[in-house]
Amino acid sequence: MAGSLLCSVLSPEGTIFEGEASFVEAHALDGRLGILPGHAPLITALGEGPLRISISDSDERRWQISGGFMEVLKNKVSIVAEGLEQTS
Amino acid sequence: MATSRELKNKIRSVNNTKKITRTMEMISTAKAVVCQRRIEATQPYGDKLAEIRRDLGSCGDGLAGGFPLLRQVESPSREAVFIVTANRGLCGGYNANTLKVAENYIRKRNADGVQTDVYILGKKGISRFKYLGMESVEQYIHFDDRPTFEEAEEVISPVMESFEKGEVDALSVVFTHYINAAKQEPVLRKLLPITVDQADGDSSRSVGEFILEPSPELILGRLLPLSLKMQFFQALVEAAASEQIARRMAMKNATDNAEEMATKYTQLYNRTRQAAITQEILEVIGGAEVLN
Repeated sequence: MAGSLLCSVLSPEGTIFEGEASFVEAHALDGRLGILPGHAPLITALGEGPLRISISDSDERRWQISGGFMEVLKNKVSIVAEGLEQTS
Repeated sequence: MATSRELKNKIRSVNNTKKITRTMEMISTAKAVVCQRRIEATQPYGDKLAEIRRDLGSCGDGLAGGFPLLRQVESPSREAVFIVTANRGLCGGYNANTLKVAENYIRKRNADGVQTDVYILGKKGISRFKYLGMESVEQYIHFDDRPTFEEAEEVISPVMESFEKGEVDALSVVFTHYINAAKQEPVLRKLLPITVDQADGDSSRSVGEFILEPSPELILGRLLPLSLKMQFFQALVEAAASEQIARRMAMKNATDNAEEMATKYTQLYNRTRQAAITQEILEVIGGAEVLN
């Protein structure tokens, strides 16, 4: 795989997660959206749904978010979440 | 001259006060650290929102039209003003300074023929406005030193709605801006109408075109209210930190003053005691001489 993603999850009250990831899956307004390394620059609004970040094959984080935005630029994924809850 | 018993009482009471003010100073110091950390924690979110807004702008296609929140009014007739004060006093000029800025602004707007809807946060602001006989639309006293985003959202959302409906034409917030640990000052920040810096030719980051999902209009339509709420929330967090720092300074001064007073009274007490002893010795000697 070509490199990895540098991922950060932000909430109004602080940074929730920051680190390398191999795959990010978020719930956009019109369906699920997966981000792999090398993705084209993207800005999207997120809907209500799960947010999943795979750090490695065996390690992943999940949250439930109720809205927000995701920006992808040069293997950097930033998620600004509105209403965020850790599910596992 | 005061009797030694009176002085002793005074020393005791000053020392008790000193204990209290020192404790309050330490509590405020601890709280200030927490608040300052919260300011730092909220920074990335606000920065990122601003960044996305810039990137959206760099994708061009004149996004200005059609958003209620971007409504620009030539001559505003009604303005909402939020004033952020503390629930508690004993924090030096913190409340007074913020309120001075707010009062001046409101008077100026009223003189310009603009009606003001005043929303006050904090008991100190509420009682000041009651004393002045100035009207306020809404009062909030549930904000403490840890305001949450949800609380901020609840307060500001109705006003944002009435702006969208055209009931108010502007929204400002008066709070104490935290510049750094040593410097805070009361400011007035205009949140609405949003000024879009179209001329912002920040080309360093406009790396190619972004894919915008589902549409630039929809993204901006969600981004604007969120970043507005965030700015308001950050104002509350900064105000909370400034309050604690102001209280720490006030209590430090009070402790120092108490210290000085205690020293002065102790000296005075010792002097009276000395005088009394000298007096007694003289009397004894005098008595002895008479016997001879």
